[in-house]
Amino acid sequence: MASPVAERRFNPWPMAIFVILVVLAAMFLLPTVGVLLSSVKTTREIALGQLWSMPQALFMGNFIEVLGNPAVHRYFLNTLIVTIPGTIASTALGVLAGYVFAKLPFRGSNLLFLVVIAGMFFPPQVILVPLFRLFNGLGLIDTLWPVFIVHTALGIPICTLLMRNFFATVPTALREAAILEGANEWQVLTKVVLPLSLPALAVLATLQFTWIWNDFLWPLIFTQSDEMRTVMLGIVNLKGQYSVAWGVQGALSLVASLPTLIVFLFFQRFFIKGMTMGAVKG
Amino acid sequence: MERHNRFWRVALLALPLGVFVFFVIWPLLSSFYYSFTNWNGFNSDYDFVGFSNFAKIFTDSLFLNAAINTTIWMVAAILVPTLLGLMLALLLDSRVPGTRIFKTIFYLPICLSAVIVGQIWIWIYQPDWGLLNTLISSASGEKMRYAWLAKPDTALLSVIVAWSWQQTGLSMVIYLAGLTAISEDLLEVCEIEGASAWQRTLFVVLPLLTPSTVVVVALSVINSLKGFDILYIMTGGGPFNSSDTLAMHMYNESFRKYLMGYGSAISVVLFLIAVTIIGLYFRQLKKVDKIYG
Amino acid sequence: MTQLSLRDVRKAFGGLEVIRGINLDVEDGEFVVFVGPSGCGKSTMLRMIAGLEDLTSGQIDIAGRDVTHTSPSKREIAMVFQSYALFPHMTVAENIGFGLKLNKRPKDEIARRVGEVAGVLQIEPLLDRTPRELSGGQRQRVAIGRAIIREPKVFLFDEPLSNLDAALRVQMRLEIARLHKRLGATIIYVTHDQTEAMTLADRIVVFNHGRIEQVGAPMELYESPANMFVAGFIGAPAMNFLPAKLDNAGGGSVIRLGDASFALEALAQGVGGDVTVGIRPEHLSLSADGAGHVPARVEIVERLGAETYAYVEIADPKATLTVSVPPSSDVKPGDTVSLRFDLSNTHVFNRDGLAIRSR
Repeated sequence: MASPVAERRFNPWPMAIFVILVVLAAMFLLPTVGVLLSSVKTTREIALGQLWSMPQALFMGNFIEVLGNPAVHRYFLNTLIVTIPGTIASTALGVLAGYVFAKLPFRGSNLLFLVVIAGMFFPPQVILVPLFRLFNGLGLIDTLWPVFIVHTALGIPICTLLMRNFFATVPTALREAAILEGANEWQVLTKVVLPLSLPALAVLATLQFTWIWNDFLWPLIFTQSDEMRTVMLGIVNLKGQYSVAWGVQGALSLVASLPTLIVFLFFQRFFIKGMTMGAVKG
Repeated sequence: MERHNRFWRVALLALPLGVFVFFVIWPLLSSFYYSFTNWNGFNSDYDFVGFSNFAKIFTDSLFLNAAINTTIWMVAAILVPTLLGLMLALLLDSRVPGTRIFKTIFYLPICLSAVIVGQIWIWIYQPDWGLLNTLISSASGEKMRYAWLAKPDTALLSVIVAWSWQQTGLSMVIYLAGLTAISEDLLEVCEIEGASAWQRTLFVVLPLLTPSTVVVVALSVINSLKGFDILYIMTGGGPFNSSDTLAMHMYNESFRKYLMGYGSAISVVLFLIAVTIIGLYFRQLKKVDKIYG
Repeated sequence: MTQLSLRDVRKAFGGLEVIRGINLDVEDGEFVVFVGPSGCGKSTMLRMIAGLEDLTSGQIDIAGRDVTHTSPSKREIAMVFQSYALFPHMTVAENIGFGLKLNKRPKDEIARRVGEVAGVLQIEPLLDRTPRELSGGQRQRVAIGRAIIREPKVFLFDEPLSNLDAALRVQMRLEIARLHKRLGATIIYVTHDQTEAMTLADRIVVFNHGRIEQVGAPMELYESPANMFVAGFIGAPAMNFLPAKLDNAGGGSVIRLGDASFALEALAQGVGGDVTVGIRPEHLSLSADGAGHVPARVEIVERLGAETYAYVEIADPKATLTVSVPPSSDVKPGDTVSLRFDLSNTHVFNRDGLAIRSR
């Protein structure tokens, strides 16, 4: 019976806010909906201006075309070859470095940490040319090695930052207790600290996987032939082949986005507090 | 104990630092070196040309054009997602039903690759059947066939809209986290003192979100300086260089015209701009940190 | 004039009732302390008075007005939070003047009133500082200043001293007491510390599981606790409790404690059977020559300087009792002593924990 005495947060007109949110959400969803719609329509339907209407029948031909295209298989395989090792490698290196910065600091380690973090901030254009020269000299251009290596290297700053911030929240007493029991540092890291770090690792793995899978610039620079292309390059490349086959392009975009979605869904139950770590305290 | 520590510091840091220095720091320094040469990307012999690359920058009208576009791009890329994300976070902080669904919808575009975002918006801007022209046509009654991405006046702005669509979710998430950090006590004080929702937002919530704003703007700056992929996909820097940014210009000079020396010089300038902006940021960050701990 | 009136106030969270029918009248200028263990509902009750929590049923009146459904800002109350809740981005002056600014008062009026309040609390030199630059005690004064400037009918304090270290706590306790005398304000003060309750309160309200166990002046609760809970909560060190038997045959009342027995004045409810005897450490004494009631063995002696406590074991019933001994006593662990009960200060509680004899 008591009328609302205590109101919380920002809620003068709940109805109005809800309506505004619905409108904004619809606006935000429209582009994605467009892709979904285009993927189940024939080229003819779209060309006739019927893209944005509800489909009478779901045309699966686009997906069949995409999933059957051997080029697409190749692109996917290439991207996997680069993304999975890249994720594992950059995360692992971030764990090693983050552990030292968090638990084994030394004089100047803070400065070194800042230098590593700074690596996140500068535009990659700055190292395009030298890296091109390096890999050219090693004969690695038009292989997948440079993409893997560069993603690992460029992933180190963010992975180090997140893991160091997380490790800092693990009580030092745990490490000291383990050492008293006779553990060496490696065992402390692998048997004590890492098992506690699953949320952070999950966040990091998801971020890195998404970032590397979605990347466009480095494959653009380092690959030339079609055999080596990753999926994002492949999409751009296939625009030529499927120039007016909008439906196929739509289907391809959807299929190309699936892996990151799957990874996100798989890891998200581990996220808990990991997500916003460091985001507020900067 | 200290000896044990010393050994492990080296053992654990060796690989990460080694990779980082060899593949990031060293190339970074090399870029400065190449900017003083006229390397074309293939021959192993090239000459030192001193500062002539940098001098060329001042006379290069394309550079000036790219610099202006980059500035427009950055300002818009900072303002739009930040303000929009803030507004969304404030709206979502109320107790309306379905906040989780809303959050997912707004956050979704961030997970898409730049290529796909570009692709989606190319369709939206499609002159004949794209969503934008379809909506305008049905609203105005006249058939609209404007080619948004093909006209110099609107190309850059069109990409900015696409970019904002993608980036807003990120600033929203950061602001939402910042909102949860505001202590309930302070909001209860507002209740007791009789603050209206508007007064509470203006005098208490927004100032206390300053740390989040700092993070959001910093991320926007960094991301926008890197903004290359989506422009490449949607306009390639055209039409007539109307959406050419410094990053794009550098790529064109280096990998299309094979003027890698000159391209390095451009990238060095880009780098210095980034460093300056970020340096100013860290100073601001320190001030904010003092107030909010 | 009654400033605050609580009538059959109840609150339930879902199916769980946390406040179970509170009735209380507070007079103008009274300092009332809500005290009780964690989770007893005292803070919830305070927040309901403030208007930060709804009632499930009941009524709250402030200064004669029914405020049960009024928003907090219109109840003429002011609250000092446990965490002080100062706005970190505002100066002290802005923090104190916040409410006035919201009401769009002219700037010179705000400055004048803020200055007055700062004067009362002696924080004028701090007006331009931010909370980060202040000590705990200073922050608390700013929080109090923000409350004073509202000129409320009732001040609400939510465990204001919990965040301070021991020495500061004593100092701030005195300041709050002085403030009360100076302003003559009506204060509701919540704490879990019975020392604060005893020293500050005009009346103490003892809460337990959402109910009021007893209301009364500090000494009243100390000398005449209505039940075992209040008896054990008020007074430090806590009262000793012993199981005993009450024998009412023959007109008088005899307490049998193991082998010992002593006669007490006729008890109010003269029903025989199992009872609990309560006796405070300061009402027990040790005599070496067997002149006491029960033999005991000294286990541990704690010498605190101004006070000394001896922990003694008795055989029947098997128990350890705390005894306050004079510092000059040379009692040692292992000593055999005779425990003497001050009979005029011995409490007896029946099987339900209610006092059936108190002075």
